[in-house]
Amino acid sequence: MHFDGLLATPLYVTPRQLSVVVPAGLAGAREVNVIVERDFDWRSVPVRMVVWPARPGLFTSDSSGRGLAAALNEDGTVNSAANPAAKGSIVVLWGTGGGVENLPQKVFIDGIDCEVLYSGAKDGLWQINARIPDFAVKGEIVWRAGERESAEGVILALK
Amino acid sequence: MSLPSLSLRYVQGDPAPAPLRVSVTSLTQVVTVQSEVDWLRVLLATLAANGDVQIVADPSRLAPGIRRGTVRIGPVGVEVAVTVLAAAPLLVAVEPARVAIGTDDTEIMVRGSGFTNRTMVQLQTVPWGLTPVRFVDSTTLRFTLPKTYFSAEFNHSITVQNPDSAVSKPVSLAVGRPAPAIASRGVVSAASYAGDVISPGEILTIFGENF
Repeated sequence: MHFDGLLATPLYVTPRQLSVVVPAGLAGAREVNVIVERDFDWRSVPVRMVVWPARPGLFTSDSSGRGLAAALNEDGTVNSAANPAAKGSIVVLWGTGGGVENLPQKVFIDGIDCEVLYSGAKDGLWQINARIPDFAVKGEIVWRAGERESAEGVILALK
Repeated sequence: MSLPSLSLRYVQGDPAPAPLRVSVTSLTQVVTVQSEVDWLRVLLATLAANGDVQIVADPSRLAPGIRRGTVRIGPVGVEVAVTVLAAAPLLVAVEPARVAIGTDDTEIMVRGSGFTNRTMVQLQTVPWGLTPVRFVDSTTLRFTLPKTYFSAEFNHSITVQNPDSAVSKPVSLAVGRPAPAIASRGVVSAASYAGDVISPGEILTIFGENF
């Protein structure tokens, strides 16, 4: 993968889909040409993309980007309707797009600013440990990285 | 004394060929050794006993073609034939250098220098004759490769040659899977599938074809 002059090796490749971590070297860029290259010099037509410092997104349990979050309850079990988390307990959330410039990371559940006990990334994958507010009701999660927020429609199953 | 006839191949501009060595046996008397042409030279004037005679050829000033000269070792003449070839035309590239499998008839542009209207294109060392080779100028030739040449993954080797010249170095025309293509709105967050924007350090999923 080419991001202007920066190369990145895909995490996996299938004939119609691949996954790649955007190079950290793009920090500060406003736009970039994204190119897929195969067999050393057989390249796709570039796709011009806008670059933001962060574009947080939470992984979901069915990989659709919406619905139940891919999350662990405080006891390490997978959060689900059959295994909801207790209010006041800690959940582990997974996401990507939190940026590379030490941006402030916040989590809101039902609009309530949560206590974030840990946030960090490795190879593009973010882990965020947050405490569920006592007054949460629906369990709607929003992750904010710097000035950008994750899309609505991701929820935690709550008791 | 048994003497072979000798042959050499020389491309203009190349270094002179290595000396030729002729073994002389059954010699019963001293013989003189001399060349009858100025582009052949022997390294000793007489031979008193059995041994080797070294013949040095310098065909650098000869015109292309087959030239013959004789070296006399006593009463016997050794014929040296040298095939002089003009320097090969320079082949730099073919365009396109890659063609997707299943592509229709395609015009190939051959780029280089030293081409003439008699320059021959070769595919896999075989002179191309299925379609005309058009001489554009001394740097460009064009010819059409029929679609049957693009039916499977293959590297075609293309060379060029002028009359009386050496064969150029080959360039490759690769037939393979089509180039990758990113789908419209196909660059998205691996987590949220939101598109249009990317951020440093983010995991992306990219959809398309021929990855």
